[in-house]
Amino acid sequence: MSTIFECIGVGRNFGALTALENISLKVQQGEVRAVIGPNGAGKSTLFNVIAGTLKPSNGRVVMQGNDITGMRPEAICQLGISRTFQLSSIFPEMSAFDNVRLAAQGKLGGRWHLLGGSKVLEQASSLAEQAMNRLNLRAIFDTPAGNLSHGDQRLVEVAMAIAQRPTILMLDEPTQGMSIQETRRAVDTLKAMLAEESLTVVLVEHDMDVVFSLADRIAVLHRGRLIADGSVEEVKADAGVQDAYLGGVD
Amino acid sequence: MQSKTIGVLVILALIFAPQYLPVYAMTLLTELVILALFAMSLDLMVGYTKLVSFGHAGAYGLGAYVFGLLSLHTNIALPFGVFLSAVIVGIVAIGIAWSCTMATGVSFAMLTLAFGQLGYAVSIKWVSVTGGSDGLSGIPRRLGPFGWAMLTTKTGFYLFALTCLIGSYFFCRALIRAPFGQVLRGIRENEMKVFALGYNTRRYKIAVVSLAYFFAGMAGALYASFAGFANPEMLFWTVSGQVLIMVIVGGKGTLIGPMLGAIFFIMVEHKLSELTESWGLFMGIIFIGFVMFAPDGIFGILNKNVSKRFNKKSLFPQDAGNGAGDQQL
Amino acid sequence: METFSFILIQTLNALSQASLLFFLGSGLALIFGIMRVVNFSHGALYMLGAYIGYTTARLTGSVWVAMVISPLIVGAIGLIFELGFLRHLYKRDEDAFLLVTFGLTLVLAEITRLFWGAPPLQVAIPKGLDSVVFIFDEPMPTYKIFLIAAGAIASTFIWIFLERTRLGLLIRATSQNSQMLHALGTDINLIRSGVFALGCALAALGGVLAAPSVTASLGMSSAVIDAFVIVIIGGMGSFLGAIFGSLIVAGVQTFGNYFFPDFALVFLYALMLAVLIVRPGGLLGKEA
Repeated sequence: MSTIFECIGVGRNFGALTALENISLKVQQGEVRAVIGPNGAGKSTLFNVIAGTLKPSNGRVVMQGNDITGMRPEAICQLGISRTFQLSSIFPEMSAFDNVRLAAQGKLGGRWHLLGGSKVLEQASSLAEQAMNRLNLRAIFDTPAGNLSHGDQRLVEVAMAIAQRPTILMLDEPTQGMSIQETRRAVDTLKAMLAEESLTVVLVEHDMDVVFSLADRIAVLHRGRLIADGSVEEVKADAGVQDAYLGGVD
Repeated sequence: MQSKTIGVLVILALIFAPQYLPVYAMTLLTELVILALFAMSLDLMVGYTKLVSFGHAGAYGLGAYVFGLLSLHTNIALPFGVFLSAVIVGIVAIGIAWSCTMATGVSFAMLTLAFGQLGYAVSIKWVSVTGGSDGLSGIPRRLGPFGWAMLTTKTGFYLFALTCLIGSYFFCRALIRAPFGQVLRGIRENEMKVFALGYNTRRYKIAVVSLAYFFAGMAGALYASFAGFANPEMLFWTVSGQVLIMVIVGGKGTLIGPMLGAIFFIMVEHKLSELTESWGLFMGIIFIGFVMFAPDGIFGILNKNVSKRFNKKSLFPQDAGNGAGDQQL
Repeated sequence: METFSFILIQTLNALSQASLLFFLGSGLALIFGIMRVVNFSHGALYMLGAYIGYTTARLTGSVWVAMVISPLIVGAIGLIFELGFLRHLYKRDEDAFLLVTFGLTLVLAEITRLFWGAPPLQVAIPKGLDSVVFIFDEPMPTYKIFLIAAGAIASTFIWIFLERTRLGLLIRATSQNSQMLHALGTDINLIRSGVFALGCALAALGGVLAAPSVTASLGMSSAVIDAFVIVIIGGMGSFLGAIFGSLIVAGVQTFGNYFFPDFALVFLYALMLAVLIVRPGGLLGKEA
């Protein structure tokens, strides 16, 4: 397996506050990498730095050999990183299908064409259909996204990211706000999808069950630093991690 | 396919109108066609991309002046003159759009207002070119290409204007249904997300504003030819307000709605102004009423009621507009 | 010596213009600070202030009385608007608010035209101020000096009110975090309505003060652009920023007008554009 993506010494300050300090981690192609940590550990900051919504104060982000540090979000998306947001971000009045189709369209050429337009729409439509089927969302194709349950909205967001056929899929707390059933259903769906097709996934999650079900390797952040990085067993056994979560309070 | 039949009937009625309508009605109808084009152009911005503009009269007036200058100083034939004016306005609009899209929301609206007022000021001050507060007058209506005298007649001109309107409508409709239109919808509902999906949203906004100005410029050029003059009042913010009223009251995000709004506006103006001097006041109140209580406009009201009779959700299943019907596959 | 006198004269001109702009802009800044929405009819209220001032002056024979009565009346009108329907629009998106206040502008413009007619109306300069002082042999209308004084006094007074009184503290706090205050028992709605009325009254005061100088005219509604530029430059919602913005805009207008009389508008809009590019939240300001 090759390294498809890495952060090298990434740091981010907000004024006097150091949100991230010297984060170096590698992501292998095809693996599911979870990033966990207590509140305020810097997970979302790291996520946003990778996705381009924030510029790092130091360090570099490299994808497939290309330095993508500080690139604009839409350029990073075009390079192959698709992400979801922590707070649901969808198009409420469009149907779920149209939501996903618009996402798929974003990575297709010929988007500006008037004459060739219908072909592009067809392509986008089939990509959308595939993505939604993989996530078992057939039933809600036509429902306006704003009317969907919270859990379904989160899944539609994931479908939108998948429909872009990304090289790296980044999920920011995908099960946040979901009920227990929704979470279980989401995890099963994601597992099934990952079994069919090997995608590289970077996952920020709070729910440990979700993490242990899906992740191949886990990186643990605490107060902006990387305190553990390894397989599920290694991290479970790591004393420093236990400390951070169960012992010393912030 | 109810909507298609209605559409065909309406177009036919409009084409044959000169046969059965008296002259004064034809004049009114011609003016309506021009205003419908003006209103529809603003809908691209307001209805489909949620870019509220208070300065659209600037595009309209600029089109009128450009056409006036072209016609007065060159021998250009009417159709080319109108088209060229629209293109010039569209090109100028790219610069304006680039500036205005630096900001969003209220700031965007204020910038459009500023540019509109700037246009107004220029039209008054640049006396040597624009004729100052008197404007341009005596704008000739020239022969069509190949010496088509037909366009100099009232009926000929009406049909030309109608062609412009219908052609523009179908162009805009195709645009809305193309991938481009889907992006506009996305921007309207959640611009941040569209950006995150990899689109350069600013470019799309510049494009749609330039297009809107293009069509408004076309309308302005047509009006200058129709009325024979162009004056600074055409660029004043109250005119921007009037076309905005047409869009909102008619029904934004539908292309057809604003045309209905134009009809409504002109009818109210003509009927009420006979009864009272304060028709503008009523228009303003009606506008506020629609914004607060009937945001889907006249089109929305009609669509709901007629569809109910036919037991459908909407008469326009293919309209990828304001969500009146969502399937487009 | 000549350059010095020129600069002095122009500066005084600019300061008196800044005073008028201050009343206009500070009203909008206060309203935005509290409500986070831009009241498009602000310019129309400024205009209304001028016209009501005109009528009051004619009825009572005193422009001074007009300067007191007109803001009160317009403030009351603003209050009625806010209570009547603006209040219901806060929950809806900002576009609806913008459109409704735009409609209000049209309505107010029409009402003004109907009551007072289209041609501009002259308001007499109050006696005692209609003379001229000579500064370095250049005539300077006393009225302008009065305006400078009025602006300075009013801005100081309002600043003291905002910074040093309990009510002022409440107002500032509301613009920072209204939910918190609400939880603490303050009647947010009361404060909002009050500040809105105050903002309208300030605009009207600007109008009635401006009238003797520039005549009351229908074109005054577009003053909302000036107000907006001031608020943008000074930072949306910042009172001090409004003072700062007024000075800058007046300076640009006065000196620009002198050197390039036809381009003053261009300078203004170019300034607005530049500020929006550099700092979408304004120079002194909170988030836009």
